[in-house]
Amino acid sequence: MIAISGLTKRYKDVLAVDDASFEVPTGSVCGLLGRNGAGKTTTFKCMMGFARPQSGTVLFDGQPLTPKTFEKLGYAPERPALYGWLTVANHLELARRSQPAYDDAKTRELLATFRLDGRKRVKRLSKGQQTALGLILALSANPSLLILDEPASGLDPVMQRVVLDLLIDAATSGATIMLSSHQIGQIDRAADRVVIMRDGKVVVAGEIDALREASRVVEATFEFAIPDLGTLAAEMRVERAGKSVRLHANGRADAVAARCGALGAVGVRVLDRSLEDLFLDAVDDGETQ
Amino acid sequence: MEYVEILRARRALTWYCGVLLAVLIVTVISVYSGHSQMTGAPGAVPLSVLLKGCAFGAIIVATCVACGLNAESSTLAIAWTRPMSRAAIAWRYIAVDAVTIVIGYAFAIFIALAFLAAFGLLGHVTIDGDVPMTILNSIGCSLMWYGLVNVVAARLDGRGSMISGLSWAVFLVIGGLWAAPFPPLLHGLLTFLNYFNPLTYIQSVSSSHSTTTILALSPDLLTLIAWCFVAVTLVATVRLWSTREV
Repeated sequence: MIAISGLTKRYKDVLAVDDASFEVPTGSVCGLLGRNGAGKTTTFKCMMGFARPQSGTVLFDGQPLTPKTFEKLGYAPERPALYGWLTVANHLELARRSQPAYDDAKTRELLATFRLDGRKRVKRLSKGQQTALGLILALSANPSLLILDEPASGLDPVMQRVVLDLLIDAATSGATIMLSSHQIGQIDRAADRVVIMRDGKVVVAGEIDALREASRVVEATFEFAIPDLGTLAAEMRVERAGKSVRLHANGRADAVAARCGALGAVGVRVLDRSLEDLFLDAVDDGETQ
Repeated sequence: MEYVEILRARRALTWYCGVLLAVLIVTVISVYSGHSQMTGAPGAVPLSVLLKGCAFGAIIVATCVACGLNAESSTLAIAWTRPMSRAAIAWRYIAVDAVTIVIGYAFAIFIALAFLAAFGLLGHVTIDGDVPMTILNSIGCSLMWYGLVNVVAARLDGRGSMISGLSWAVFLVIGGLWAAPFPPLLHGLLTFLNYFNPLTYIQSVSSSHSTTTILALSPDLLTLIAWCFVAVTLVATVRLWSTREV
């Protein structure tokens, strides 16, 4: 389990992470979403001890980060941190020597999956291949905690699918995974939880299904004008367009739909919202339209 | 984790040894083919003088490997995610580099002796009483240089190689300027700066063989100061490097 509480990181005048709190339960896959500069990478840096937060705590299975934590924690940064002058095989040897739980068979399998040539120097690899090698290193010791900053960046669609399958497999085996990505479809497919950040703050956090359920929208169409909606207008966000009205039902979609029917709506629909809709709503700062 | 530094050191040593061997071979071939001549028969060559000259070989190696920790700035995501404390990683790097510097020193001595042997001059080498202190001093000064470069580069993102290269210019210049006829205040400042100059300690260790003495201290004390610099700069390097932010 990963638990973050009150995390705040400031760089001079920039508040990169502002009192961020969330949890990723054991065996869960959590997607960290946000626009560029939202604070995702800084959050990861604070989690990994690369940056010292001004306040807040990060706990892995109830313990703060120590060197021993890295026996069970795999990390792949946004830009692969690799030695350009070393070969792929050198990197794997480094992992073998430094990770007590290094799994040689699995690493060879991953190498074959990503079609990486062990003799090739890293500076000769494409960006996607470097990303793949970073992932192999992160996965080479069968970690129970995985922190991945845009793990599929630069990979072709086939390899992106492979990466997602690997993550799903790891989660099925009980690993706790936290990953960021700008491709919401990847998060939607792999993750069961999501944290959305905006301007350093956590604006949405929770299980994706529950968030979807809570964000369902009721669309009601009336024959003539929209009647007085009574308390509904005060309780939730209402968008009016001609004879139609959309009500953001805050988890009470069925009850709201029934109220609309009672008010004389000729058509009532309950609309499910995609993760992308949730994300766009959460990060909307009024400048995107 | 020191595996990377071992590879880095191996690469530096390969180049260094290759160049020294090439110089030796070219010189020997040149002399034996008659293109160059060795004039005059040398008198006795104290081994301590030879060892002092070879210290420059160790310093060359020291400046080659001094940027190892600094070079990790772009790969800290690997280095700092190993199940080992950052200080332990840094000390292991330093240990690898120290061994590399000693190997570099030993190889320079080997090349110097091979050079003398090639011309039948090995018999002129005499073992004098300054040998142990000279070895201690040479390694101390090389590590002092290594430590000074490291402490400056510990928190920088890259540019370690540039600092290593610049260190030669800085130490040679402040050592050279000391001999210039500057006013007493400036001369005093240069003397102070030379306390931080490893070359000063090499020059001065054996007063019976040196022509100038920047720091009027006993060879034992000079060596002790050099080793104190080693301790302070390396502890500071480890502290600075392991507590930096990325």
